[in-house]
Amino acid sequence: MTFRSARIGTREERPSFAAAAEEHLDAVYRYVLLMTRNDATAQDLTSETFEKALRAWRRFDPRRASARTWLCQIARNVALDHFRGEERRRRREERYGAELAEGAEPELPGTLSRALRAGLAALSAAEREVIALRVLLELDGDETARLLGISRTACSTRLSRALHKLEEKVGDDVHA
Amino acid sequence: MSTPEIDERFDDLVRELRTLPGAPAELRDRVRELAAAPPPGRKRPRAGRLVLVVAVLALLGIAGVAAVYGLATSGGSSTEARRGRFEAAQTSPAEGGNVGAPSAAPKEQALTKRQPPHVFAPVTTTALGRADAATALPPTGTRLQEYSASMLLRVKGVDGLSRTTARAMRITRSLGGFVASVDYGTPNRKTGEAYLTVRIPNARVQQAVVKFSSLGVILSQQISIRDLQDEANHEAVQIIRLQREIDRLVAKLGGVLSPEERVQTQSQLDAARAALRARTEQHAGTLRRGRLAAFRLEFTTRKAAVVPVHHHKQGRIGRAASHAFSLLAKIVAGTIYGAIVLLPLFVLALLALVASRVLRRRGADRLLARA
Repeated sequence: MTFRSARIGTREERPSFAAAAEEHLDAVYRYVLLMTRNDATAQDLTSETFEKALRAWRRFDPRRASARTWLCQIARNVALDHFRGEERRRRREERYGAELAEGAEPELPGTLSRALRAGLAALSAAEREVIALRVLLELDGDETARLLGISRTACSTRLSRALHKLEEKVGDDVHA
Repeated sequence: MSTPEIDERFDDLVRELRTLPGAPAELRDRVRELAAAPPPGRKRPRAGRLVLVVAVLALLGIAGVAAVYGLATSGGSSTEARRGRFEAAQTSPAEGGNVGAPSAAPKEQALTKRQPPHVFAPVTTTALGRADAATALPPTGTRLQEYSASMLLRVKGVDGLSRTTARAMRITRSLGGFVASVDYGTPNRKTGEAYLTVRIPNARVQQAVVKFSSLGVILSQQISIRDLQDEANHEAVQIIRLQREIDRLVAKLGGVLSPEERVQTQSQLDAARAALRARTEQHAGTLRRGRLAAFRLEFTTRKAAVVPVHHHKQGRIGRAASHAFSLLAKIVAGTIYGAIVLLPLFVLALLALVASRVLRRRGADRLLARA
């Protein structure tokens, strides 16, 4: 077998966009949901992610990353844009002395216990993000590290720290 | 249960986290609708492929330009053929105007105003070399021509330089010419140069070329011939006209004229005489230039870094290829120069790009840590 045919033989099959969307919609939504802790925002951002993914679908190369990782990368950029917008909005409101609207604090859906929701709320988005990728989406360490743009070791450290912190917060809340 | 690398003590947390709901039906419908929509427009070529195509096209374009340039500048025939044509023109029967005589046949006027200078490859003073130099563009004896030649010859040592300079001066005098200027210098005991400007009667130019060629190794030789016949003819016609005008004015002054007319006619006569004098001097200068050839001789003890030119051995395709390669070499040199100049800018741009990406990543990390 020549090198070329060997390469073609090992090439991953490229799924259709519809199939990829169907398969990874839940993962992307849960990832964004855990990052933003707001269902409505997560739905909007997920929708925006798939719109962008459809436009860029021709550039997707299954040899470089799985569809799930690729979609999560887009979702991450969308979420970052969202956070940047939120920060700008918050600064603007602070500058003009406006108070945040009542009930603006995001809240995760009620399927999680109150203690866990409180624990997640105490984590930063970066910590929730690594939990989402490693625990919910079950991406491996390498994929997660690549997606976050950090080393594998840094990724493991961040995950461990986030889980410890979450455990502590949940424990505190239960005892309280 | 737990993902590898996740401590089992977090199993409860993991289990509960995984109860997070999936995408709501409303979102799923929205995404399905999106996926069912027609795919976005035309496929855009990848940047890498586009760069490759542009690079290949640019290379092909450069090669094409070089080929066209080579063909366009190679000419239809070799230098030898040009020389042959030139010699044929020199000896063509279209000649006939005597020096100073006002004859201006159309064929003569069509003859070259200024012949292109002919540069020959360095040749040694072998029999062949002498023969080549001897047959090089002899001035015609029937037309008035300004003949000028310059020769660069290598001689052996400072002693040889001195002997050769003296010999060149003797040759000049023996041919009935004179030495207009000499500049002799030996900055050290090994090297030196001598520059001579001599005038030789046109009739003895060929002898002069042969004799000067034998003084050393010819490194370069340039001969140019400028036809002065038309210029001399024109001056002669003007002289005749002025002479007639003077005769007419003299005759007019001999007749009956009013004082004003006399003054005016006298003034015209003076102007015509002055113009005649100027024109006659100019004509004499032209004839002088046509009678004496100017030779600029340069003797050197240095080995010249002159690249031999082998035009006479190449055909048109060879010359076209040579010119094309010459152009390509210039383009490559220009590209390398440009790259050297632009490389620091490119490195700076690259550093700026890397820095911006690092800053952006750090900004994202800070943002997520705060959110």
